[in-house]
Amino acid sequence: MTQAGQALLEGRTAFITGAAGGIGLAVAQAFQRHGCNVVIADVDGAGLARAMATLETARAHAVTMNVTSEAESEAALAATIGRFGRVDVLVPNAGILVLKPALDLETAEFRRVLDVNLTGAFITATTFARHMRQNRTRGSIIFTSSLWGIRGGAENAAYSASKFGVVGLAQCLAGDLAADRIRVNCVCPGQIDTEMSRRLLVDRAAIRKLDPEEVRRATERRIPLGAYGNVEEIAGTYVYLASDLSSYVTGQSIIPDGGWQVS
Amino acid sequence: MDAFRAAGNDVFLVDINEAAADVAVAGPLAGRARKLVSDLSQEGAPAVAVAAAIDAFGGLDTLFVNAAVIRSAPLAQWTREMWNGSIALNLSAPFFLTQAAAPYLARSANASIIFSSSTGAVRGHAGMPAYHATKTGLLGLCRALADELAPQRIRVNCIMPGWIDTPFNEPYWSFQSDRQAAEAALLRQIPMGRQGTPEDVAGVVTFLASPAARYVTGSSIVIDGGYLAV
Repeated sequence: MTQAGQALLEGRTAFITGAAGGIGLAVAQAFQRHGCNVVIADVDGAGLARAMATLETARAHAVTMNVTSEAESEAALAATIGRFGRVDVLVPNAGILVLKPALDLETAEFRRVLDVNLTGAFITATTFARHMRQNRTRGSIIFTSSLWGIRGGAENAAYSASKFGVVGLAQCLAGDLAADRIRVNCVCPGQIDTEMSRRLLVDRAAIRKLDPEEVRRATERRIPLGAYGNVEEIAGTYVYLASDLSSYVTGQSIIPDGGWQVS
Repeated sequence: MDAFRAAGNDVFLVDINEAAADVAVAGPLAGRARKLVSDLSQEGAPAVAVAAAIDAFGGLDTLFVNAAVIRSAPLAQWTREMWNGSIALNLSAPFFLTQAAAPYLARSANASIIFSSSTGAVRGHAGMPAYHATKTGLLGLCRALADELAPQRIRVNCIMPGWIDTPFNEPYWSFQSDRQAAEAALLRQIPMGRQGTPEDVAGVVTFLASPAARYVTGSSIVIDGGYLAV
């Protein structure tokens, strides 16, 4: 109701990682609807090309990159500034998930998840925040953490550890960057219908020797709003945190989880 | 209220202060405004207020419960009347307003209840036991109602404003021995270096009321310039 027809991000530019699909792409689409230029980044070049086809290309740019590389992050910043001249909103969103009982998880797998989800988010955030500080941009950084960044669960040790880390990183950066008037917050989505969560269902069903459909129904029964969220529903939270509606909100986590935490 | 009206929504204001309510509804904004002068801490008042809102506009999409009182006194001076009065307005009124409004909200395609809790829900200050207890109580009330009303697609959330510069905080400031020093010390603890404004809070309320928040329920959003995070 209140935001119908109101462009909240007119004239701004956003950089979003992990944006070839899922939540990242939905955020890019929602940002565009609110008047924002978007630079979408992903390690999957073919996926990025498909994603670009869903965006208004005059106000979109794609960068194929690996978030764990500082050099590629610097190149992505240069490409963003080269194309749109500024960056106001940053969404370190790229993430991977390895679902395994903790005792079966190899150290190399654990390190890999932390490298992409936590160190990658750190590199993206600091690279772009340096530019925001130098250019006195009153920016907004929005990390994608997870409901599993505020609670744990079986088979999710690596992902959950990385996402808890993201919440801490966001709170510390909120402190580091407050004097620059750069706000830093997290979104902690619950059960959202994405390729990642669909694969999680299959992996979890295999580990527990259950039917994936059964696991899906059990998960849905646990959600007070009764269903998985869809990515468009989550994107609204990012728009809000990117916009001036949240002008005094920093160091916070917002949890679109359909009520999962309450029951 | 202005933010809702500016976006074209009708607003029904319930306040105990008639003069202030008259000023609040007077502005020439897109949405209509009506008012009811009522003390929501009185038994039956919440149901009367909801009925009056339905009479005025025919339906309800958002219930924003913001009325509250801060009372301050040393522990020994608290009376049962002071304590019960705080509970009646800060905690009972949100519950009974929800009870009265739920059947109407259930007919809305975008039903949302928003309680004003506070960062005081997770902090405490000497002299204000009822305020802190009721603001923490609202977080629990919000979660229980979110679970109960989810099948009717009514979302229930809290906002938790930190230090917002309004006359409401006067009982706190007047309880401090050195007011100026206390204010300077506070600003040093807020990463953004300033107290919030009512507009900073309005943005969050309009977000929670909007479809942009349609998968957010049982949750709370802190608006504090980073005060709690560091």
